[in-house]
Amino acid sequence: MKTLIKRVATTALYGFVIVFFVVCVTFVLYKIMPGDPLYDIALELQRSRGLPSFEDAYELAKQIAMFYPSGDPLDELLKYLRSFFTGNWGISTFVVFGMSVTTLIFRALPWTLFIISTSTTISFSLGIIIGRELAYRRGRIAEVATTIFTIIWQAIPDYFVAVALIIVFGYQLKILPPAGNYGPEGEIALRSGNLLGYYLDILKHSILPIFTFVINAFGGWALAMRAACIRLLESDHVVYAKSRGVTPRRITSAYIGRIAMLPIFTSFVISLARSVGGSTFIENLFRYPGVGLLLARASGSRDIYLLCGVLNMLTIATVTGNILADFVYGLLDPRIRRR
Amino acid sequence: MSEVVESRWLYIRISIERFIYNYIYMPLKIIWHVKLGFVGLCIITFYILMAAIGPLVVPYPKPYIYPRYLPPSLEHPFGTDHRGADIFGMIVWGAKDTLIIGFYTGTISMLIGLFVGLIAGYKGGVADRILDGAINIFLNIPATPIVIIIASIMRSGHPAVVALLLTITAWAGFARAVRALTISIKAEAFIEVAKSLGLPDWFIMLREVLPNMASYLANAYRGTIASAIAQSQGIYFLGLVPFYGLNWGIISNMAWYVGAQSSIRTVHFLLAPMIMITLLQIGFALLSYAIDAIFNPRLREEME
Amino acid sequence: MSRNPDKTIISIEYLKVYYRTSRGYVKAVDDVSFQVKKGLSLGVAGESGCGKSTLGRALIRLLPSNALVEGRIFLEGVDILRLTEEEFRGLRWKKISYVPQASQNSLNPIMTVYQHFVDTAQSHGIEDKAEIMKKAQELLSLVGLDPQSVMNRFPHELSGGMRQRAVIALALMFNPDVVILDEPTTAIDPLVQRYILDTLKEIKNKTASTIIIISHDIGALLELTERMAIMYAGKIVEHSRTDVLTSTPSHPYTDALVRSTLMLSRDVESVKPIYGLPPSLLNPPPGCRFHPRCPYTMDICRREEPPLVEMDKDHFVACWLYMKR
Repeated sequence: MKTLIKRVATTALYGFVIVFFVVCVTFVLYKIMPGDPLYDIALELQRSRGLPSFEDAYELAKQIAMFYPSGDPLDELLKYLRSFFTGNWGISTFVVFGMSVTTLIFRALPWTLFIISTSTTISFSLGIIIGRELAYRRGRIAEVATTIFTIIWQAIPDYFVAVALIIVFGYQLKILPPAGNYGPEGEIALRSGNLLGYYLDILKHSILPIFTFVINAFGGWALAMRAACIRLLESDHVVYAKSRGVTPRRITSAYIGRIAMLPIFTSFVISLARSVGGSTFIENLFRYPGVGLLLARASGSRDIYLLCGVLNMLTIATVTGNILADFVYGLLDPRIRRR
Repeated sequence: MSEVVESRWLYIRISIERFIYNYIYMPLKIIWHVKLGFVGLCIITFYILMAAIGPLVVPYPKPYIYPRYLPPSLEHPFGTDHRGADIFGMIVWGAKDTLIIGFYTGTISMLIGLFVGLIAGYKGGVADRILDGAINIFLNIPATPIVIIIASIMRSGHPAVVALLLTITAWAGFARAVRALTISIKAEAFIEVAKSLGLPDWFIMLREVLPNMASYLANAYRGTIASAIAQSQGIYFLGLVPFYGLNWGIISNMAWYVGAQSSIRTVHFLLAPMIMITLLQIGFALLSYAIDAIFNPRLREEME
Repeated sequence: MSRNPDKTIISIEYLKVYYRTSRGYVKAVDDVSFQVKKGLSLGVAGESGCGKSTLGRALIRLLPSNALVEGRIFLEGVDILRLTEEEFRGLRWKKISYVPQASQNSLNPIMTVYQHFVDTAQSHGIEDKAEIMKKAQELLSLVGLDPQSVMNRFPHELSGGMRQRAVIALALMFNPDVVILDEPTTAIDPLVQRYILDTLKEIKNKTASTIIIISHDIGALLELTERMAIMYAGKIVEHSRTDVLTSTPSHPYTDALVRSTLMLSRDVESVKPIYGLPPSLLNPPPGCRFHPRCPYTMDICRREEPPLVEMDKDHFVACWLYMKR
């Protein structure tokens, strides 16, 4: 156990360094960005609050902002870092004016997590089951079929699959909504206190995005699992287990499955964390209000605080994922646990 | 599980099996691989020709000349769009913008990856630790958000810019593989010989180590080009980056935002660029068989 | 289970095991026939690559997927090669068990020693944990391991010798009629080797199982076995009582093999190597397979393969030297 904690602590430290590094990078980005967001904030403040002078508005803006140009870069950096670690990530200047970046991000985060974690879990589960089966059926036909399957699957871009699904299910068959996280029905349900109806509508709107993701992703998991299982099929301990008369089902689960899954499971945990960054395409295509859509809108309007905020969020998520993965792997593999 | 052969005709069965294997199965397998590769090569050549010569042959797709949303026909192989412009013309004129990103990203990231990987693997020690750390960091950076963010800051969606942004994350994959290969090649005997002859490090790296990873490099280069094209066109399609030129992602974006996907009458506008991109990807995927046939000695050995 | 030396427990008839490889067929076991009497311990000896390991694995049907098998193997009258996998699974470990080489990673790296016992027991219908625990403790003590400290350990936490002993303990779980050991003393350091030899002797005395030991260590086989079969290039060249075979070998190869072994009863000077290269199992030499390396080669040896003939009672040799032609 001690080694495990040490390992995870090292990864955590490494991660912290990366986050710190990226935060500084965002600071630099802010500095080199043309234009002054404070100016825009001040302008809007003056207008909306009816402040008499622009200077007053600007002063107010300075207070809200994460730092203000004081001429001394080091001082600015320190103020920036202080703001960052106390949770003040600035306010949005375009996407939703005036709303704090942290609020925007944490409102979008649950949607992203919902879609991505569900999708990843489903594609992983589906993939490893199919992969295991593929490893067993090793006849000539199966090999050829697998090869063709591999080529085609990897070649088709994921947005093409998405578009095809949207056209077929969303527009031609008209059974699933092609955009948004919930629609008018859900809105009505929510307003009238019908939580169940609201959740059902959310579910309905999540089917296409999740389905798209799964179709694109399960192939990768299946192939990885297949490769791992094939490698294990004639390994020493599997042969020995067979010699002892261990039931085929037990061999499949405990001798092949669990061992093959070890590295694949780590990839799974890493994927879950990195998913926050990989959701961009799905969310934009389906206009699903998660972090990916937020990123697109922020960059489209060059809403600098929000932009940097999202970037930092992504880094934190990736780093957290790596730490979690390390931890989980250490738990699963007794070779590391007991030392 | 092994087979239990019932009869005593083991020798005959073995002879027949060997004959079939050596003279029928293996040659067919090799031809099949090479054929697939050849198809891939044809596809890619076709695309390159389209990008290079196409604009000389096909007229520039001016809008408002032909009727809108004409279905595909002999005159307009892909039909017309919402402004009556010839879609086929748009595809041809946009080919170069689409392909060029792939080649930029592929080449530059390969060069950087080679440089970093060779040094890290060959020199070892402190240099390796630092470089390896850098590789690991960059491997974990998500490509799409980086491209979106920086492109927006620079306010440019120029293909060269997008290509460069993609290399930020693409080089690390090369570097990691090159480093691993360098380490394993370094252990071979002929490197010792070269070193003892007093040859300079950079010479050894270029003339002895590098050629041994030719097979990996060829395939990885192909893969990076294909992936860069797929990723960049996806980014343009979703409108995540300012437009520049008329690549296929941009055409798809236009189609999407005028709602071409909603009706069977108009869907050809969306499908044309999408299918072209997909076909290109399939071509790259098949090309890997051609590369295998050329570079992979194991296949050659089985040909003998 | 009583010792009954007159009853045959295993009868191998015309067994052939060929491996399909990209270079052709490797004839690992080529037309082998012999019988094993119940209760007697048999040693199968030969150089590396002579096919003895393959023979052992064929006996418990553990051959890889590229193996082609011909012939019959009778275990107490049942041709086990013709049974379905499920039918044979029922017999596995109860009638015939296997002790793999120490150098292999036969224990599941993510399971404890105890869990291996549980797995095996449950696969054969025994669910009572208490019973399993008791049996495991008994067996581990038998092989000289301390049950308390070993039971809950993972394979990587045990030394090579301990793993070998654990695997021997597992093999005895259901008191099988036959136990096959594949190179039990190879890949273990000499001090532990001694201990394992002693352990095996003790087990031999305590159980009535028929033990088949596959090894190239003639010294170990001398201590442990009553009968010995010598294999060369996929064929059995001599098969007889161990003491007879080692003191007065008949086949030239046996002679060379025994001479090349350093044993306590001999001087170092009398140790002689076997000349020549090991035979190719892809394209074995014509006639007698040993003829390129045999000091007594005759003309007929190059042309025709000598059959395995019973020279004396229970003494079989395959050599033209002993046959009137």
